Amino acid sequence: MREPVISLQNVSLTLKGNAGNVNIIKNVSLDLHEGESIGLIGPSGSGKSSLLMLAGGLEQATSGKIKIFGQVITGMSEDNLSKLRRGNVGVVFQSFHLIQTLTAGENVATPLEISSSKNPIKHAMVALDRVGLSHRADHYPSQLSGGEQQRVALARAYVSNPQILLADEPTGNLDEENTKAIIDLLFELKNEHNTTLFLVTHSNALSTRCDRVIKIRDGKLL
Amino acid sequence: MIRTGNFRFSILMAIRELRSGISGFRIFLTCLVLGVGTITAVGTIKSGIEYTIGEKGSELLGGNAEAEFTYRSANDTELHWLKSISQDMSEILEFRSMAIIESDGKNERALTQIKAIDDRYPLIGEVQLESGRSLREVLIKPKSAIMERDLASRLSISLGDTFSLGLADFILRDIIIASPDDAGANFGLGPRTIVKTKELKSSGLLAPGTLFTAKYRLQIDPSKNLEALGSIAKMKFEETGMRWRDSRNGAPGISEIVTRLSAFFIMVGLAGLVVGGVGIGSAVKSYLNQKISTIAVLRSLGATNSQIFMTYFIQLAIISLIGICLGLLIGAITPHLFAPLLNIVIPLPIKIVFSFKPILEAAVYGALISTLFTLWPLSKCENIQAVALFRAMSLQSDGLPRFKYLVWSFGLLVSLLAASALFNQNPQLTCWFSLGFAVATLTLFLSARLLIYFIKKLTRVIKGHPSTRWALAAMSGTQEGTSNSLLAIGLGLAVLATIAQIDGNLRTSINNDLPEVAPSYFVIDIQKSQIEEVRQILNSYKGVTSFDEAPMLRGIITKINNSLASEVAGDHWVIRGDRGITYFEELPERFTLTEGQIWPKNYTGKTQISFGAEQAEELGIGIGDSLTVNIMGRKITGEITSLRNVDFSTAGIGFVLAMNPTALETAPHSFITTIYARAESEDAVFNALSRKFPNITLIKVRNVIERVGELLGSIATASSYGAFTTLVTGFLVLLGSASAGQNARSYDASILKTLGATRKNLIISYIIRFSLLGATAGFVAIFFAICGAWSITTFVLELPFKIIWSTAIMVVMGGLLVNLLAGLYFATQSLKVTPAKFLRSQ
Repeated sequence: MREPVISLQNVSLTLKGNAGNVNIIKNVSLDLHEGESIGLIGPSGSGKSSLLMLAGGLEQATSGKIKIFGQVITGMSEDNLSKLRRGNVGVVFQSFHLIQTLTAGENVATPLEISSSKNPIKHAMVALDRVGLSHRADHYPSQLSGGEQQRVALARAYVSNPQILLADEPTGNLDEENTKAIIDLLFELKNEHNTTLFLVTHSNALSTRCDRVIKIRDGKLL
Repeated sequence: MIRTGNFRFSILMAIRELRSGISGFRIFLTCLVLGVGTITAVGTIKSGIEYTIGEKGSELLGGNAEAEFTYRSANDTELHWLKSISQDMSEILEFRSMAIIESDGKNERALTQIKAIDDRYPLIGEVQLESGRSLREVLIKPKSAIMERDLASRLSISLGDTFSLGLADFILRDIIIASPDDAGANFGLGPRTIVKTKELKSSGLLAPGTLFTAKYRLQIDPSKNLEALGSIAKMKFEETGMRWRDSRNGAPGISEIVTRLSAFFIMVGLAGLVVGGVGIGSAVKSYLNQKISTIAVLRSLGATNSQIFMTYFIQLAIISLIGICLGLLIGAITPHLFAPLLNIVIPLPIKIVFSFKPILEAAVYGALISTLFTLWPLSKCENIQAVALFRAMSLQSDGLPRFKYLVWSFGLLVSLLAASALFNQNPQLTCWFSLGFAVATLTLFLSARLLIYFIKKLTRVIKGHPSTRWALAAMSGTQEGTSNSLLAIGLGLAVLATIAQIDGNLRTSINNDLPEVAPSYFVIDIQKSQIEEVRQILNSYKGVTSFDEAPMLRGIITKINNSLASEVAGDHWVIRGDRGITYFEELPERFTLTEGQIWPKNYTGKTQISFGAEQAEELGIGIGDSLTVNIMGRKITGEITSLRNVDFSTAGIGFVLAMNPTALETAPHSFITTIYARAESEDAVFNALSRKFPNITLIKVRNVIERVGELLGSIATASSYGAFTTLVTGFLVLLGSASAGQNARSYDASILKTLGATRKNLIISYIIRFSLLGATAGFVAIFFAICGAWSITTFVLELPFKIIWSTAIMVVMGGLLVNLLAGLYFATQSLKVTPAKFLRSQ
């Protein structure tokens, strides 16, 4: 059997606050395989987003071991994690998180520019065209609707052809019409790139399209 | 190591981010522009003055070079040499005397600075007279004189009236507006009178022993090297007492004052820039806080620490460059606009020219300060992780940045100090000023910490006073920028308050304390044959409480232990120029012996010298050392056999150099007397002495004190203006800090209003908050100012120190008011937004 793309082994996450420690994730073990889509569902405050961040190396675990592509990332420096994410991990957020001072085209080109790829703008235009927004390349996020912003975010996430895509409630801020459009686009891109898709959602429409659905409550997988 | 690809990304990102404009950097830019502009302006004015002195050196000096003698004219050998090196020469004799008018019911006497000229004067330039006529035309008739308007007013005389100088009568022919060599002249105690030297023959004012200065102005062939001539003059005639200067420094008095003052003003400007740096750091932190989500997104996309650091470093570097360039432009232009005003203050036709040095200096300071104060908040970007997109994160205020940033910060600070020492060529001033500034900053920083500590304790205890509790809670929270506000306003107040305390104490000493101990009159040029009669007159007046007298000659210390004095003692004031020298049979009461022994009575042996103890220590000489003194061309060498305390603080008779009587009593000399009289008797004594002895000069000490006080007051006022720029910068920083906290205040206000708080509750809370902060800044500033002023007044000025409470209270109130006004302005803006409107927008 092939090694999982992402592997979490007995991973815990504890955050220190003024009122004391908070155990967000408690001893979670999880494997994600190449090309599969996994939906993570659970009530508010159950640790869904935190587990997603841990899996993508965006958050450091307090204990346990996390591997991405067979490489142990627990204890890795922020810079090395950033370099690991380049071209390998794409992220889509509920609040889109486009950089407001960049145009749609520049937002999509940013991951390529960070990794010093050639012709970043050209590739960005291709990615924008794929999501149907090449005509809005010169527009700023404030000039785009919610659905358009999320499509730009998707283009940005996929422009470097990542093997892993993390999506944190990608339709959480969208209306019904845009939700359906984004879901369709998300899975189309996933299939085109054979990406391992790990997403957090409250949406049944989204979770039912996943290969696997995992439930989480109080930081533990059910 | 910065890779090309990383750098390219950072530049791209930086430029794209700047497209949204730089309105968020208003305070950043203003602080930088003000600081850099001030330093540029001061430096440009200084360069203009230096240029003017250099270009107009000959005019200021009255010739290409000048040879000066005290107490005598040049001897034949000296005259021969001076004529041999010059194309033309003019002799001027300068001395103080009394202008007297006693006729037609008038009886006035006034001190005047007499300039006795020959037919060649002025060699360069023209004397400007009220009538518009030439000097030659006006003085062509015998007994002609011209004087400054001030003197004519004091004597209440008009053109054509007769007045006396000594025993000679003169007719006032015209009024002097300006002489070309006025600015190059030394500090004068009375308004000028110009007469022909030959007309003074019968005046009795140039008798042997009279204190006068002979100046020989020379017009020299431009092909001759002035520096070489100066070296020859020094070699041939330094020991005979000739003092040489040339047009390369035609106004040394002004040059020195300008150099010292501009160094001080540039330091004050630099202090303002450092205060601005606080604002810069605050603005950068505020800006980066707004960029947290962007930084987190870039992290999630794979950007490294160095890419993010470089992105924002480049952005801030571009903005700094804009600020520095604007500051340089404004600083370079402003002096041109104010040149006419400057000409009123400084008696020179200043030409403001483009000078690279002040621009370079200001640019270097601006670059170093902006880099130093942006580095710390920039370094905190490393703490921003991608997870900030999910959790509230801000640039951490507490904690030190990584070691490499501490090293860079230290390096920048050292570079700043080194640059300052290099540019103003006064490492001592740089060190002391920097130390004082560092102590002030540390004091304010620690005070802020202490204030927050006590406020936190107090917040828990206060019950039933919600407005007070809100105010204290907000002050101890991180958003308020308590430390920044204290630093910003406190530093400016500290500089201003220190200057005010020093100035106040100096003026008190000069205007209040000194007149109580100083004599009423200083009388000079009393001939030996007159001294007994002077004593009799003074003894006959009951109003004269006491008087003191001493013989006086003037000479130059040319050698110390057979080596040239200038080589041994450098530029010490005792060997610079001529000194008063006295002799006595027995040690007068005004001196206290500290070491050695005074010569015995009727001593006729080798010349012995009694020297000032403090001055001896400064020069590194003592008992057994020999001094060679040139008095009227004659060299006298003696051994120091005693040291004594010389107290100049009473403005009485004080001589650093004294010899045994046989060394000097046969030389032509005069006597000086200090008269202590009750105010009601002063005029009578003045009239009695001046009528009986027209040749003597009576200097009213009170007038001198006033004159010195005026000069010092001008300097203090100018210094205060300089310090004021620091305060203005501090105010801007305060505005920035107040503005930065507005969002937090709006949030608090919206929540509190929702819970039932009224506008009145909130305004009271703001008043408490800002008043407490401002008052604390004021108190700390005045505490620092008192400590700083005490040490300077006591150890440098050696004067008694008293706290000037009026300025102290003004400083505290000033700090309170300024902070209150700035804070309330922004706070009341927050109250205008309705809770629903604000909360909905969040």
